[in-house]
Amino acid sequence: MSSVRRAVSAPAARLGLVRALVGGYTLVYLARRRKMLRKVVRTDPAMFEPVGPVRALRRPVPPPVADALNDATLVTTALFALGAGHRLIGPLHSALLSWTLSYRNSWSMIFHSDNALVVHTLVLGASRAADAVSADALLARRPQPAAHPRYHWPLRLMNASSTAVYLLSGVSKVARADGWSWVRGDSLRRQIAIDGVRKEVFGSHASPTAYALYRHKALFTLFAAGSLILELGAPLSLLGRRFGRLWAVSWFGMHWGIRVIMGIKFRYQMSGVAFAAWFDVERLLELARRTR
Amino acid sequence: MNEDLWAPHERGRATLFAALVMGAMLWPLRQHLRPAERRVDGFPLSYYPMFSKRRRQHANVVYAVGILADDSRRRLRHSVLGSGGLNQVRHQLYRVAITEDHPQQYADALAPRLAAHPSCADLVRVEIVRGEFDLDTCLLNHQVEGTETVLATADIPRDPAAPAAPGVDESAQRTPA
Repeated sequence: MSSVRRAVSAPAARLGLVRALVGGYTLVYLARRRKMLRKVVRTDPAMFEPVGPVRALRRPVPPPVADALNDATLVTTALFALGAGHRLIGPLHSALLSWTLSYRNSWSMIFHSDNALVVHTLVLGASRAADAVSADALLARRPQPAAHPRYHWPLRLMNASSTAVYLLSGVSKVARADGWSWVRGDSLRRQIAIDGVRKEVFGSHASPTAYALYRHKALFTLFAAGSLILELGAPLSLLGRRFGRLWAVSWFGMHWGIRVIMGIKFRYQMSGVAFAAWFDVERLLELARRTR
Repeated sequence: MNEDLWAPHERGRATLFAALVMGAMLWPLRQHLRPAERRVDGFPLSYYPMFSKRRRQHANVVYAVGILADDSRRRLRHSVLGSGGLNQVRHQLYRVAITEDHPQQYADALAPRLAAHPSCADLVRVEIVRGEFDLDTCLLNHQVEGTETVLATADIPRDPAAPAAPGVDESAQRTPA
């Protein structure tokens, strides 16, 4: 195999394990929200403001139908994580997940933290992500396929889509009327403050760190500049694997920082699963084999 | 089949799919070319409007306050107002009270539900208020106090036989279930 070919190839196990991780994360995420979703779909229909594929609807579907779709998504999530019947389940699961999360976001509030999960699942569902580390591979008893670009492009696309999310966030900050003033940190500082005030008046609590840091204006300039560099410079992460990993670790740290300062949980990113495609995760399987 | 080879059309399909995904991801950038009031957010494709908003030192928040028999006041927790989490409840309350200008409708629908809520047994009235907060004062003094303007008020029915507010039924409430 030529060095160029090697550079654009990945082992099937890497893509397979990323699929299992994303599916496993989604399963826990949805299972823990099943009750909440049942309540949300029973919200006053006047609050219905469809987004994404749900825009095809003029009014909400009857709650039992929404419940059934949520449960069907849970089932396909489990099959997707296991890598069972992937040719059918992959696209079906990505369609159902897109629907379920869009429907959940169609009640006057969009939770942007799920965007990357939906896109990553779409990519995995459309690729040969169950050629290894899957029930399909186990049942077929076929030898593990050789590394190939077909296992590489989905990972690259997942990374590129993550990059786009950060780039869009960065552009949004500097595309305001006052442009680059975001870098001064005042907007970030006030965003954290207003978030804390909202939490307090709705019976929750602002993060103690928000109170503790608020007086340190210079710190927010540092945070704002750092986050803008990570966001606007996001496309650079696609230039090389090492650079990409450095970026991924930085984003991971940024999300944990947001959690500590604002109390906002970007669960998919904080779990690390969102960044799995940047790493040689298949080594975990070798490690597990060796330690057995 | 040689494992090293792509299947027929496999590479072309992958390229097309990747181009479509990335094109779709970046498509919301066009929102920045529109006037602010005409921008539309979406899911899962977003332009992340929360970062474009201008943040000032003073901020308004609409929320609900419970009034006790002795006239003392207690801010109501989001989970009492509806499901879906704090931000969803906040957006829905803002939408009804401010965007649609129906704060009384929200209060009227909420009151009978609070009557049935164990944690609100001590409340006699609910108010929908708009609070104006000086963010610096709140955060530096560790005390979230602002100036409140009452937008609507509704008595909480305590008679078990009392009917729910007109137009409200359990399956379709103006406040989220």
